[in-house]
Amino acid sequence: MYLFKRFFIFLSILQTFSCCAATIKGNISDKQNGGPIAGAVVMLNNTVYGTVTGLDGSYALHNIPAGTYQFQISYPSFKTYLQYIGISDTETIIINYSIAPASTSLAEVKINGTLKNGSDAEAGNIEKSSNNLLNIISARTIELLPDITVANVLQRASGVTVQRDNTGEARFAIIRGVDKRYNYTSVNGIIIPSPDDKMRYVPMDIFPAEIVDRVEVIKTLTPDMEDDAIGGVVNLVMKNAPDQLVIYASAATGYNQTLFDRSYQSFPQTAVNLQDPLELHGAAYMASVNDFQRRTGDIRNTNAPANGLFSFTIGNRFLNNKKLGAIFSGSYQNTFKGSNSIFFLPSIQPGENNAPVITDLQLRKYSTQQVRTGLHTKVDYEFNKNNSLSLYALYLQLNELQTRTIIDTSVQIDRTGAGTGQVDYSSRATFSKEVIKNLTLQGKHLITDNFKIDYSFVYSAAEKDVPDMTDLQTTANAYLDASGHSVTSPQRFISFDNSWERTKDEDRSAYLDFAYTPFLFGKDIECMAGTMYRNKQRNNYYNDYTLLPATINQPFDNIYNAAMSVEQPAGDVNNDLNYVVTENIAAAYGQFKVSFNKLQVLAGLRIENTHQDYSMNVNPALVYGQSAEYRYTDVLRGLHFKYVLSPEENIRLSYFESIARPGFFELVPYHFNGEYYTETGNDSLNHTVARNFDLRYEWFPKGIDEVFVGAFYKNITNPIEYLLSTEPGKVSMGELTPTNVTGKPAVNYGAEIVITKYFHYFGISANYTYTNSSITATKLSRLRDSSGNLYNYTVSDTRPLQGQSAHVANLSLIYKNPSLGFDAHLTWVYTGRRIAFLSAFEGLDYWQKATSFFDFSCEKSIRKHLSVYTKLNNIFNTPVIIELLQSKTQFTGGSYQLPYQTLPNNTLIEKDYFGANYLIGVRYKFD
Amino acid sequence: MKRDSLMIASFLVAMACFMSCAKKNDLVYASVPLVQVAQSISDSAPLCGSYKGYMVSGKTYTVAAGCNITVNAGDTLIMDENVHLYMSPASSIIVKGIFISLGNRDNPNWITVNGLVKTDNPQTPADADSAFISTRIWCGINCDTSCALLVLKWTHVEYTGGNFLGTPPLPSLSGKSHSILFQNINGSFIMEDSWLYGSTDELRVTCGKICLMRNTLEKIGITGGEGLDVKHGTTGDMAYNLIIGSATDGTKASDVGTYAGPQTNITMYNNTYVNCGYRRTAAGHGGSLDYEEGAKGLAYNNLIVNCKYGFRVLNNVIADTTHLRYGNTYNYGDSISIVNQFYPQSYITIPQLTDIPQPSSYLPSSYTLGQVYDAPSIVGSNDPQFVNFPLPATEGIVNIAYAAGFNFRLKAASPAIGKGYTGFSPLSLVPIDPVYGATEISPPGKDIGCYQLDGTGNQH
Repeated sequence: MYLFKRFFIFLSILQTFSCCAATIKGNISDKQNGGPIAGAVVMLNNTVYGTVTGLDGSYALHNIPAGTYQFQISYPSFKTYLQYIGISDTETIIINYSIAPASTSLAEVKINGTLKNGSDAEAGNIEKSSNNLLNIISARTIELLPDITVANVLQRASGVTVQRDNTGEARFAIIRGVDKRYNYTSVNGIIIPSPDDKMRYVPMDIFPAEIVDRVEVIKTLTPDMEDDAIGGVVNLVMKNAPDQLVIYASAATGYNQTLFDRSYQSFPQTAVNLQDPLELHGAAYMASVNDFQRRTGDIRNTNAPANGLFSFTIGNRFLNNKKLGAIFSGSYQNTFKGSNSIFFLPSIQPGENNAPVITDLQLRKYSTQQVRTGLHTKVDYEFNKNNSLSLYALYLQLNELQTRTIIDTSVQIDRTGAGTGQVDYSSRATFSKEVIKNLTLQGKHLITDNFKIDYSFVYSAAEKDVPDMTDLQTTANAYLDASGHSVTSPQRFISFDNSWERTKDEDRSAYLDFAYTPFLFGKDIECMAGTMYRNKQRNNYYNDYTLLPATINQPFDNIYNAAMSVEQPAGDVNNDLNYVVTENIAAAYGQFKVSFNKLQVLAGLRIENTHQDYSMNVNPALVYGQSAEYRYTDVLRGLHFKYVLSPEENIRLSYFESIARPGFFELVPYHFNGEYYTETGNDSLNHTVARNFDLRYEWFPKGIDEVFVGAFYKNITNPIEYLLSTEPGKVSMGELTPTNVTGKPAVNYGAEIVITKYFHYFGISANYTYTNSSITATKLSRLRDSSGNLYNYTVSDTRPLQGQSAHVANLSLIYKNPSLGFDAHLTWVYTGRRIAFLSAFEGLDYWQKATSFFDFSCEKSIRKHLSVYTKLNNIFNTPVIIELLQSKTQFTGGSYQLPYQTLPNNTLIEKDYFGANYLIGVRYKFD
Repeated sequence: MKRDSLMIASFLVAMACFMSCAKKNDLVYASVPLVQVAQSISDSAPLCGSYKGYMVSGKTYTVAAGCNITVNAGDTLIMDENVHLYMSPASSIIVKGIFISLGNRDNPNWITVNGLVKTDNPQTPADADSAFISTRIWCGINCDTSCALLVLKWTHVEYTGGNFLGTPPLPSLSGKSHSILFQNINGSFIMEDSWLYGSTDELRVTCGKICLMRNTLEKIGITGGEGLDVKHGTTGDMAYNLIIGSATDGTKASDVGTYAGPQTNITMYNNTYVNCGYRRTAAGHGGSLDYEEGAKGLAYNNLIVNCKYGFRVLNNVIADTTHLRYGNTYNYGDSISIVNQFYPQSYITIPQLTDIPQPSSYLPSSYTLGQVYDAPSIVGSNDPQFVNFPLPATEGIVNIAYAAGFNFRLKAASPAIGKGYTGFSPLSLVPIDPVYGATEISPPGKDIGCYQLDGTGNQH
């Protein structure tokens, strides 16, 4: 904090330094909302003196000789201001002025129309006036950020960390340290389904950043919101039709550093068989080797083409009085990435005294092409000032073509030292297509001055298709030749796996909300009530075939020459991954909001009824829980206080109850039989319930500056963790099962601070969140008993929630010089250490070390409406490092000596390098 | 102001009155598997469903294609002597209660596939072997966690390891079967004087008390899999078995399994391993006997002939070497690559003074455990002198994975005679009973290998 203050002072000095002659300075703001106007032209007509206001609306004209001048402020769509002033050499004149829009006709109708859509000022205003505690990232900020997907944008929000996929792309959001399973994602407030084959959470990288008007991270839920969130809600607000013609377009290209350094490993998408033999030929079909293509087993080294990213938005209002509004946004991103990973495969079961064991060293290379398409359109018609209807459509598609090659050196088999041992090769080729669709019809009707009805009818669907994923496995062994050089024997063929998986989730929902604001007891009491119903149909298809060598010990040179036979010619669709889920959720709520002088109280109740069932494609006569049904009702209370300390300051205090439903597949009593334990589902899982307390102080000192200081506390009952069930006699192996942790409820608390401050051309935006969570569950401890036998004791283990970092910080340095038409953004994201994977054994959890990612972006306008920009991601190629908190000394000597153990003390488990990403583009803006 | 305070107070009271209510359990219904009441078993029609009772001596029973015959929990199904049970493709035996097969020397029982002819000749490669034809083989004997007892006496179990059609009948099974699966930590599995011939996968004991004694195992595992493979929570004896041509190890003990059960403890003694370990595609995975991942036990008097690897004690994850004793291992190898793996490189098997040949006669004086060594001097030496099995092998080692036409008894002049160690006892953890247990737990023998000159040991 001390450093921070010093920095402020330093900047202030800079700002006031240049004062040696006559000066005119001041701030320009928007008359309607008081927000600063950045980029307004301030000039003395017919002179050389002129400037443009900074981010905070400030300006200064220096060294002005004595005289009389015509002082002018102009800004597009606003009324131009003119004033005559006379000055002498020594004075400093301060002119603060609020300018008014040229036309205000529509602003009166539209609730959010007073501020420019997607502006920071609008975002701040929503944060200030909202019923919820939320953090907003506006479209304008997103444009300036170095991020191309919403997932990457999310990491800039206070208290949010992201989980990355194997390409380094941020994928899932963890809000305030609670796992992604405890959050939901909505678009314009409508919850959307997930294309995931097992869970409810939505991959956030499917959303291209450009089509979003703002990203809201909502941390307290009011009764009018769906209650399936404990960490928070990510709400994406899509662009609305603007008041006048708006055209945005951008085109960019770029490259990933990894792919400068090594080749891109690829296979042709046309090789993929979209349907499996069983789908093509019917249920009784016996597949032969000729039913399978081999080209995905032939991964080739190529050069990746350059990335191409395009976006386009057009919007306007038409007809008389501009009753009809329409907007269309499209985005297409075709990107290529490479990532390299060093991975030490640990034995799940440790040695005596829980000594860690590493069995393999894997060098993994990923090459990934992602083609991300986002389209959305909204048409709204305002019949009159009281009635409007809108139709919204969203289509998102993410096609991913990925190869993963692994060279696995066993340090368990045939290892006599460096350069020796069994070497296994795996080449996996995956094509996947994820789609999210949403169609919403929404009506808003003001029946009387104090009675309003809103309704929405929604169809949403999420799909994921992973056809013909193949994995080619071969083996060889490495040994030392007479001169001591490591030699690898010719490869032998192990297997060629082919699988097909498809998930479809469809929601049909209706929402109805009433708002009535009677004047009672001398007050306006805003009463809201509403109901919603959602029917979900979800199904998952999975089939696989393994092709095995037709002759034993078969040498392998390439996949085309391999002699193969089909292990299970009938395929395998009678398994638990073929399952169907229906879910009906009905909810009703009532809430009221009333202000007592400076205190605003919002209180209410929400009742949610869940009725879910599943069935899987197995013989019900043979298997327990082939189908099951669930019913539960939650009554959830919410009480939210907002105390207005001053026009610039609020204090909020909230209490709300919320739930998290188990993942769809977690309830299915599936069995994946492994070497160490069996992974199973748990049909008796109960949903998680949380009681959440939030306290926040908000200060909006001026312009878009803001300071938030807050604290939160969550008490989570029935959290779901993956635990080993170890009842001997009931199971023949350990069973890893999603389990409600009972006994002590999990506790999660923390504090956060957000500061945004602008000094003319400079801005600084910082946030920091401290989170502490604690959960107590069982683990195993492998010790000797009194008679010297090895025994897996059950012990109690208290730890933070998986994925939760104690310290999360973001810092953005912003430079924005409207007179040069130049913006720059340097961002730093710090994510403290956290548990990456849980071990079944005591002391063997894998921790991800703290990471610092640096990104930079800048934009320069080159002429009217046109600018060029660049985005540099992961500038320092920050590795993601996962470690075991155990001394590495046992792995630094002898025949089990491991390379790459570069950490000072602990054992390295995984180190991923994603490479920097470079992007350069042009943007056209007409508004 | 007063009225405001009153209002706020009444909100709070109202809020508190609504108790957040949640039922105890979300689950209101889950389907349960169908338990078919067992019928008395009969040979009048092809079998399909749940059975109990006696299978009558001299009769032949047939299981319909793709069908399971199930012994329900609480029920017992007994095969009297001289019974043929013909299995059809993809059929299996599911044991949730007790299953007993009471063959004897003169009248063994057969659980096999009718009409399949053994292709026991060295010219037939494994991929053309009738033992592994996926369209003919069946899915083995699969015991549930509730199976208290599985007894196989003088029983031929042949052509297992098939793929299940449709839903695997037990949750612990995936699409492909083992030859025999046993998984009750409190149950007993006795297999004595029996034959296991041809299986694409191994005999697997996930947990339980075992006595696997005096059996002959041929052609177990096609491109992987051990003869007898046991995991965490398995205790008992493996002795006097003749194991020929298993894909990987002949016998393996591991304490892998992440739950609180007893430590795996297996005595392996007087077994004979011939030509094992050659069908495992990946190198280095064992070819005779093996202790790993915290398993303990005793291993004496084992005869290892032309196996790809000798006795393996693993270091990573380490066997329970403080509670593992072994010795009197007899190794024979036709080629340099075999003899150089008597003490397999990279592992930690300690050469014992009682081993044959004398480790000091061919290991370097500076030998450290797992070290690569070269011992051309002992190639082909110390022929164990089987009654009828020419050494050095005249046919391909890889393809002789069967016993027919050979005799692995020892000649009186065999250097393995009288070299056994008898100063220990079997664990003897299973009941002794003519029907509901082991007939005899043979004590350690004084001759190395599964056949004793005095006629005891393996009776085949």
